[in-house]
Amino acid sequence: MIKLAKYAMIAAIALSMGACASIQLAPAGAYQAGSYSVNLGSDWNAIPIKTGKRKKASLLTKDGQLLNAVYLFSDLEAGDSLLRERRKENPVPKFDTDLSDLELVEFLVDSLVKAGAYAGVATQNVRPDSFNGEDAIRFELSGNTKAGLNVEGSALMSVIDEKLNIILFMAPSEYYASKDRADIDGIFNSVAAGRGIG
Amino acid sequence: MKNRLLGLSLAIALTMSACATNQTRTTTNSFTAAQSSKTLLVKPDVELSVLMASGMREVRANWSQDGEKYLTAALVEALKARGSDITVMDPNEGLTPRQIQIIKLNDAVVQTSLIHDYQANKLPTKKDKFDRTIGPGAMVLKGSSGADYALMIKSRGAFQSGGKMVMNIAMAALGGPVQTGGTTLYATLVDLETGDIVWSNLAGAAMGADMRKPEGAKTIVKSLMKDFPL
Amino acid sequence: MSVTFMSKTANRLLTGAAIALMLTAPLSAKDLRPQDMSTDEAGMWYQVDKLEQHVKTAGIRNTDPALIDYVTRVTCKVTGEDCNQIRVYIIDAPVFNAGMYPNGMMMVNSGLLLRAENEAQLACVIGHEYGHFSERHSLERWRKAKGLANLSMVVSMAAGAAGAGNGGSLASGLVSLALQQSFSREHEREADDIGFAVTAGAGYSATECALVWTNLISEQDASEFKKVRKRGRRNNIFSSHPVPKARAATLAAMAVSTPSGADLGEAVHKAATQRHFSHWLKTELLAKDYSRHIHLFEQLKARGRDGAVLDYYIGEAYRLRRGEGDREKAIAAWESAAQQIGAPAEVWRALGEHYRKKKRRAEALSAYQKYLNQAPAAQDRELIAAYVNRLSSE
Repeated sequence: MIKLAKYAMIAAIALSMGACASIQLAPAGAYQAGSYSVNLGSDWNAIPIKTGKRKKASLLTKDGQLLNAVYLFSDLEAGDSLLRERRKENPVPKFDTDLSDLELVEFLVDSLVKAGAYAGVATQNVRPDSFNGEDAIRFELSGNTKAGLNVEGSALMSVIDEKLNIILFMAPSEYYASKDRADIDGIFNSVAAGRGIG
Repeated sequence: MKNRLLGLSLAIALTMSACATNQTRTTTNSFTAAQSSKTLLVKPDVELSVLMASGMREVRANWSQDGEKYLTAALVEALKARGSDITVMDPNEGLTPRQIQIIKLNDAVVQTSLIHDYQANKLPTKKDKFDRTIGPGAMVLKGSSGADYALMIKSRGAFQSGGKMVMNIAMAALGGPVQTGGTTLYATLVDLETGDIVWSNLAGAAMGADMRKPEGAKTIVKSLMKDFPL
Repeated sequence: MSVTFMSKTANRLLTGAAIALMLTAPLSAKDLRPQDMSTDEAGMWYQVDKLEQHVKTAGIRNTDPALIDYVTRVTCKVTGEDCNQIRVYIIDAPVFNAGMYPNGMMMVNSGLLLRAENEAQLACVIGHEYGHFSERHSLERWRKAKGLANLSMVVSMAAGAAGAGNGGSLASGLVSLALQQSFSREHEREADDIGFAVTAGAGYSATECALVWTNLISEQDASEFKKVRKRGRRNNIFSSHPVPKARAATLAAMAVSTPSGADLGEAVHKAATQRHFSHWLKTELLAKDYSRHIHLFEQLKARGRDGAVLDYYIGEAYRLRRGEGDREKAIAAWESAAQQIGAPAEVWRALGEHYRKKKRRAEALSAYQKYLNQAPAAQDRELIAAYVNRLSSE
């Protein structure tokens, strides 16, 4: 059986080794991602993933990780990373509570490049935003995969009570970045705290 | 790396069956096959290897080139018999940057499909759907050929070396694992108006069907074209 | 299985006569592509040809025509007639490396172009890779690996039959690894010999060849990680290159005993790589081996490369390292950069960030303003403008 984890190098961030049998349906409506929830305009697929320190996170996709990916990270603590650090002499970017806004952006972008899927990632239009009423940063991303496929995306990051929350969308520029646009916008706009209510 | 991973997927799809196996998918999007059409046949990506006693595979250039030649000929013949005009296209020659992006997107879609549509990692939202697509940008592949469809084929195969056969005999006697090789093909037909993959087939060739020979290639293609919509 | 070459000493002086012989020996000008498609060599070329098609449009490929022209020109100078068999691909990767494939595809990493002080040093490395190519080392190494794989299999089966269990296959695995690595060490020495000969023959100053390794050793020694520091040290049977120190000594000795040209090409090299300099420095930092990065950046400064840009990235390295006293060192580096002509706009942003953190309001405002003025198209101008608004209204 092909384990999804074998393809982590194509498609980046910390896939859990046990993802094989556990792709779940994420039905339209509220989707709980740790301490916050987002609203899904239609049915999505949810693949459980883990941070470097084994904290649970989610990867939502319509068509597969390489084609559209919405990463939902919640409550990362200082010292945690989006990638697993396999060797001491190849360290991964780590979150810390005293990172500035620009350093938070750098943390995410460096993680994406370090994960090995992308040849280069640049950010556009870095601006203040809000994450359920709390200060946040929002920006667009663009780049290409190691194979040369152009990709783009969007990110929202916020540190609340010294814990990091991230919503990240990445997709090939050709066709897939604009497919499901309404759903993607809805996810970003709907970030709400607490449980249940969308 | 992409080729190696695709090779891995294809290798895993190999079954021990002596008979040809086919896993076909046809689009659940709306689609009507044109009565007479033009098909762009992208030069098949073929790698045929000798399976050595050590278990290592070694690609043989002459086998791969022969396989590509005879497979192409058999496909052209089969498509013509179904009323489709053929243009053969080399995906490495003279593509515009946009066309290159479409080809790379196709690679990503195909890779994704192999992970989720044939093995156990099915996506719940696609339970009753096969709607794989590269989007309307596929039109840029029409180029000067004016083709309606593009047919793309990847194949990986391995044939036992003499040493391997000896090893297999010894292993069988010891009750150990036996690797006999085999040939796998993955074919997709793309509608160049919508970009939809209207048909795909993950196929294992029958034992003894050998695309290094013209007749073998014809046998393989005959079986491969199961449920072919044109 | 012969193991005698493992006991050869690392230092081996090539006499002037031997080098002269190499220079006059006809290097193959014919097309090296195998004619018989049934051979293992043809199979290897088939796969390498496919790899090349992939590399052509890969995302990690640097397609700057001026840079490719420069590296191609140096390649042609070094390889002479064989140049028309060689195709140059520049790979954006912050690691010192270059590789020549049997079908004539040559990949040169940006990490190498960043570290080469001049055209002569680049020529040295290309000459070395050409040595592998012209001696068909890849094919020999590959055949050896195949043979070893078969051998290991036979050994472990025999061991298993004799009841040695796992121990048998582990031992044979280690032996085959050692043999494989030792074989490529011999290749590296051969390539060094040839590389030196063609580089000197092309008129370059061949004393530069040893400097390539001397610089690399000193950078490696500056690593924060013990494993990286030890990489070049021990001449153990598992190391796949002759110990850099030994190579440097061998090459330096060769230079003394051979007439070579005086071409350095420092200005040309700087000009060709200038456009990418800042980006390459930035990607070095992804490795997070900050003491090594700072060492390299200081080395580049000492060679007269863009001081303001280098001071900015030295500051960045200290900022990212977050060790005791590093913040102060970062500020010092940025403040030094700010005083130099050609300071990148990012220096002002970095200072603005620092002053804002320290609640030095006026200085923060001034720095951010300077950043926005110098980089009106900055991708984070909306965020920085928001800081300016907030600070202004306080």
